[in-house]
Amino acid sequence: MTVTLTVNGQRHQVDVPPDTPLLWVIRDVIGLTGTKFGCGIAACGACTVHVGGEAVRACVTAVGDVTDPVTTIEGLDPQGRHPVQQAWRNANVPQCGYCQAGQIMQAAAFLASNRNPSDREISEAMSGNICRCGCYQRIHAAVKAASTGA
Amino acid sequence: MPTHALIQNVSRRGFLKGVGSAAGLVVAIQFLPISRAFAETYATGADQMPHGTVNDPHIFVTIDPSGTVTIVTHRSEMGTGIRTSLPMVVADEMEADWSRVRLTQAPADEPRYGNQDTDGSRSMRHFIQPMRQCGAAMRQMLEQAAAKQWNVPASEVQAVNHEVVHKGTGRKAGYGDLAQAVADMPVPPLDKITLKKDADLRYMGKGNVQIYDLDDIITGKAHYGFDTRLPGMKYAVVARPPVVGGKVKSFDSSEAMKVPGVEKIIEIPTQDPRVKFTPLGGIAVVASNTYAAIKGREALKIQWEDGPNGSYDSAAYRAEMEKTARQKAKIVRNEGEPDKAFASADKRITAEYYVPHLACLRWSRRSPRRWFPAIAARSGRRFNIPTARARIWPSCWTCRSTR
Repeated sequence: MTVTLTVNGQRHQVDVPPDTPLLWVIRDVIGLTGTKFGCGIAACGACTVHVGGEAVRACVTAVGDVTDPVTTIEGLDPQGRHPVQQAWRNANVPQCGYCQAGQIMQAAAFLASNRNPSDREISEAMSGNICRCGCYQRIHAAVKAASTGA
Repeated sequence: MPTHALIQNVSRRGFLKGVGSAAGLVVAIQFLPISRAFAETYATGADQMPHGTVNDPHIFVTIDPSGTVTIVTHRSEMGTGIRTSLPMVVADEMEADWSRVRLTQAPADEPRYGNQDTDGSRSMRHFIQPMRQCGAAMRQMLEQAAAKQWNVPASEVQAVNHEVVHKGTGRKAGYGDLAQAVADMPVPPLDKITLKKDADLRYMGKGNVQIYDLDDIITGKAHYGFDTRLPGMKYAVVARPPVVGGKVKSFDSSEAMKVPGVEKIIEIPTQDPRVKFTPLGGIAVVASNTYAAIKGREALKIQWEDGPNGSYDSAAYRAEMEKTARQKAKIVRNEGEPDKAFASADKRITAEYYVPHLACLRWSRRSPRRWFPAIAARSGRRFNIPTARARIWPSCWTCRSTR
């Protein structure tokens, strides 16, 4: 069965069952490997992408339900210089880096909806994205810096 | 007195073994006094590791005629930055400009690179000396090459930030200009190698180097083991025993084989000793894409044999651990008279902390796209794959995968 979706501005027709999670379509069919698999049950946030600008867990989002355009880490900014990415660089956030695409996509969607968040709001917004290396302090600081343009 | 700690057998697995025996944790720590100059070698335990250490700059450093310095990073990234920090040590000692340094991940080849088992939080402790020696040797070779080219004594030239300078005349030669000359030069013996003084260090201890993969990670380009894509490749997932150390008693794969995309079901035998460093075993489902493999795994009907841990009781184990922890401890190190300090303290705070069992989650890791003959040979034997057909990509958090 054919499903049509737009990823990073490009239209794709993919021949997969409509219940296939968006994650595997992005990775295995379209071939964009920046989005990671972590848990498969929306418990870790590693697979976070934007659908219509909202952060969603691609591992539990059926591709057949996706109607709005999808943005992955590769499409967040053409030069990789989204304010969140810049803040991430400045704060040296990543360690092993595996969860970071999900963290960045979560933060970018959150800041688009809340331009001046409190520390509590940042913690709440980022609480579903876990980091095995434990970069949480720098993640928080980078989200804060991105929100203030610092 | 300052000391170097000689710590042995403190890998996480060694730790767990100690805990598992319920006899408390025994760690061999010896504090060796630093009574010699830092440049002299001190024992770290690295030599007791399989294949020890290697400090040959011809193995770790390549200089391009353009001046680009490529440094081999031979340990696996574990999120500690070790992929960056050991080459940084080499770059510092050889006076290389970090912005002109490229890294290349070593294939699995311990006889060539030294031990590659990245566990026990000891990569820097074990390798800072050989990496400093490696970089210092290359610096001296570059100085020697420039001195020979200018026909001046080596004592009159100095390597400074990617070029060699003649003190008298101010003449300069970039590292790229000297690349050819050092390519075949014999490496000076260890007793002729002088490490940089602490005051001359550029990167070590300065906190001014970012991890090499920073930009790739932030833009989604970093390549991890499971990001590898090959023409016509298959995807596999494994149904693991629900109890650690369990194995497959019997299984029915007929429904799983009906899932579109599923191509093959393979039993992976559980090996003895179960767990530790051996594969856990289970049933692998091979499919044309990951989702088909996952669906196939869901459709498997497996009878498990739980094995010796089938009767394991978390609550009883916790109670046993708590009891053990409250017993009088064996003193391994005693500095600063803690008993006296506690006795005279105005306020004493007592607390117990409990952490449940943790799954040491293996997330996937970047891997160079190349052959790994050594591990292919080992894994080939282990998984019964003809060696010539096996290619292994080491993954993040799999400290022993490169071995």
